[in-house]
Amino acid sequence: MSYALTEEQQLIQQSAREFTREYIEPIATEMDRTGIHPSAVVQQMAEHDFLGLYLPEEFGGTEAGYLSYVLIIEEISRMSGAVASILINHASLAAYTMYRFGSAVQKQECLPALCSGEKLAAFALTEPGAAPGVGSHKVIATKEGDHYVLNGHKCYVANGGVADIYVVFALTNPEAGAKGMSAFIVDAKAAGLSIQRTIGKMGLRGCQSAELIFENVMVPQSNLLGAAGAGMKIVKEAQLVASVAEGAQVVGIAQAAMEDAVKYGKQRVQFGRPIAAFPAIQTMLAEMATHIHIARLAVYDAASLIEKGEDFMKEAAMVKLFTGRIGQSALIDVIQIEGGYGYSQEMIASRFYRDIKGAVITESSAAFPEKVIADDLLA
Amino acid sequence: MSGIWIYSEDSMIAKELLTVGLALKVSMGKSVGVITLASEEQDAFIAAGADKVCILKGQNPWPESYAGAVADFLSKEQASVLLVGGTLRGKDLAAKVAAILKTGLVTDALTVGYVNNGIETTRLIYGGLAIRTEAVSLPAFVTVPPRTYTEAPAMAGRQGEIFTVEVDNTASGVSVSNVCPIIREGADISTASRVIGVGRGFSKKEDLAMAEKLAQAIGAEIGCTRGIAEDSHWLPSERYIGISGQKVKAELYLAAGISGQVQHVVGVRDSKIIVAIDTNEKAPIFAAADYGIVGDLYEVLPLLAEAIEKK
Amino acid sequence: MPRILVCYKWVLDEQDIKINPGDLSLDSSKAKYKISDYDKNAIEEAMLLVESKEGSVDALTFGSDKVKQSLKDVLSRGPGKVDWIGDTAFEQADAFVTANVLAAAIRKNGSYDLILCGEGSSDSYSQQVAPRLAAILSIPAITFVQKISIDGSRIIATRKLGDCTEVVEVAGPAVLSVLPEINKPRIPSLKQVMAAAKKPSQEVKLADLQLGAEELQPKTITLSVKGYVMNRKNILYKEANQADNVAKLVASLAQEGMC
Repeated sequence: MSYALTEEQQLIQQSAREFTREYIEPIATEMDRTGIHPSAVVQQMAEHDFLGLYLPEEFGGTEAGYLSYVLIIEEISRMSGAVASILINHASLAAYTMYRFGSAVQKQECLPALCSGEKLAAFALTEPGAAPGVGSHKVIATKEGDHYVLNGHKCYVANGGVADIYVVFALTNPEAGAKGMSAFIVDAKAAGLSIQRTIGKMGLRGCQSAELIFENVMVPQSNLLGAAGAGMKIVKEAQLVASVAEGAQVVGIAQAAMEDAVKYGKQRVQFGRPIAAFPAIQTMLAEMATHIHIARLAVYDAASLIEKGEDFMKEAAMVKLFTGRIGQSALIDVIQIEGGYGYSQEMIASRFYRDIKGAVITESSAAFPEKVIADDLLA
Repeated sequence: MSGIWIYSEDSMIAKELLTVGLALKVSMGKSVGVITLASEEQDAFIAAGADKVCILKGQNPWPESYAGAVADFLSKEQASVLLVGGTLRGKDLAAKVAAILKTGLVTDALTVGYVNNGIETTRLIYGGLAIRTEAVSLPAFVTVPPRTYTEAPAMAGRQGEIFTVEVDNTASGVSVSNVCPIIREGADISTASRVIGVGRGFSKKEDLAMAEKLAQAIGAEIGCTRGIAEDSHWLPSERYIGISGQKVKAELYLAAGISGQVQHVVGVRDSKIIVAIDTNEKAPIFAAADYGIVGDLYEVLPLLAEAIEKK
Repeated sequence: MPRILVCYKWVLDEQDIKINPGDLSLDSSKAKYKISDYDKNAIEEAMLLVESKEGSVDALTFGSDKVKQSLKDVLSRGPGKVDWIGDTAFEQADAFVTANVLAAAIRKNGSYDLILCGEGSSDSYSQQVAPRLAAILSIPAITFVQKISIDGSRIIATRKLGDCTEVVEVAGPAVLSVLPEINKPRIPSLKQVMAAAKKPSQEVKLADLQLGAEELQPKTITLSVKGYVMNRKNILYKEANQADNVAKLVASLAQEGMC
């Protein structure tokens, strides 16, 4: 790895590695089995300043930069994609949205609690059965005096049911469809907001997904995030920012899986030789190592652009496009190399396989990567 | 320079060191003496092969306070070699004596020999991963872990010189109190002939009952990894086996749910037979084991206890 | 308000060292450096002592030219300042030389109420430096400590010595070596990592310590280092049916005369 990380970034990476070994490794397998939200780990992440690490100090953050943040996501993902998802939904989707589009008052009110870990945040976008704002359960926000009243369903809300604050997307102008969508900050305790059910998943188990029901939820107008109707723009930027972190998640999972396959390949003997000596295995390993390396460089590069405040949309979309392709193929090869061993339920490779699938299919309704890249090229 | 000297606050270990000292006596052609705080053992040391016994007599019973006196004595004697019993007290004293006399010291030597007019030792480094061979110019000090050698046998009719040196070992400003023996539950695992080691493969403390049941069936003591003792506190720290914990030299060591980091393995690898049970076929413990079962200890341990009870 | 100094060693992470199967030589080309594990306990203990008592913690290290990489790492763990000696003399240094160098740096740079070390280093683990340091500085040593308290200028420490514990009380300054069980070192938070960059570090040149050639001449010379090989039978029973595995194991143990 020749990408020049600063001494601080290397130390942050080391801290995250120690953290992962200490707090996540002991619970990762069990969490995958039960699917229960690891609140103790989240508390530890808060105490180690992971939750607001790239946000400015004035809001209680650590100002360590977005690259440091993705380094942490990568390290955590080497052990647990689920814990990484909890952090991404909190920090990249919800907290980022508030930081970028919130008013001065909103930022002062919300962000310190999100940085300190007093509150966990979630990003409520997807709706049952359709893209946001078009299905039959769409969430509609009706203006009544100095309040909006929200009604409808959200599903697959990561951190749903365990979050204290939601960034909720709702139609303030239903006639305009998705273009009439706005973002709101909604307290989890708001009257009328309830959890319909939690959703069992094949992977990323422990990052709880829930279906939320809004029944006449009163939200003060002061909780409108950004301008009315700015929802799509907000979603697009937040998803692209998050896709860089998700890229780091894919890189972390794939790297750990590859290392597992290498270890296995050196030990498993067939026809009198370790299987790693066979060209077919070597080809698979070489290809995945190359993909992971290139993906990592792309992730670090896009994260640096975000950190420097430069335009990052195209590079973030490229991360999404590329990691989406290489992540799963790497895991397919890992399972192939490890054979029945890797396919066994209790083995780490099978968990990585399920987790990486989850990491690459996260919604991108507003930010199809091909479209973002093509738009940039043709502009 | 003259003389090979042995020191240990523990007379049994001093007799073990006489075994090494007598071998060095042959190769170096020098006399062997024992420095002791225990006058009642003087004749036993002579019988076990010591040519001289020096009894240090001070007012302060704290063994560590004799470092200055040992240094003075060795300096006067122009000792070539000092062998120290590698207890923690012994290592503390040896390092202080070496600093005072500006000599080289090798701690925890596995072997000690006389080569090329100097002392050559081997010891483990990197947590037991490797062995380092070192040459120490004379005078050379070495500590040897307890039970590395057997005690030198007593021979009838041996003669030797016994003398007492009065020393001032009052350590000003240092007071020692509350000396409490560590109460061990069960036998000492470092001398037990059978030991079962438990590790992170156990998901909760209550489950250790399975290991205890097997221990009963085979007559073993329970030891554990550092994590179990010092992170989870499921067992007292005297039960922790490893580089900085207990060393097990058992006839049979059975590792249950232990991945086998080198720091743990170094504490058990002098055992005669090593058995490992772990779910992960690639766990390094299997490389350190004679026999292994790849499987869940929750399934294997009860079956094993039952099978052995039936026998 | 104790002034505490912690000594630490920057060592290769033994987990990354491989043994070459042919000649049993060690391959440390992929090994990273780390603060010796036991020294992390010493650093943590120093921080716990000043957190409850106020006071200050400085760090001191002697290493090769690589030791510079350790500065922010150690500072992120709490100490307010670090003095470091990076010199090629370290490559051959034994405990005799190391203790001489550290003692000279301590004499030159400051007075401390308490000097803390780990009980040994995670590479050599010779457990000599703390007692040697005390002897050179002519101050008391309390080794293998599992508990420390400070009462004015008195230092009260509980030692654990295999078969017994004892309480040793001394008037400071003193050198203490701590056992790993004394505490659990915290993983630095990111705010601590970021703050480390702003803390001072000072290079101490070996030449400025006025040590004689004799004091820098190691007494022990490494002749060879070889990987430790285990000759074990490595018979693995891995059928799906555990009853079969157990039966085979019991048969093997019976053959060995173990049951």
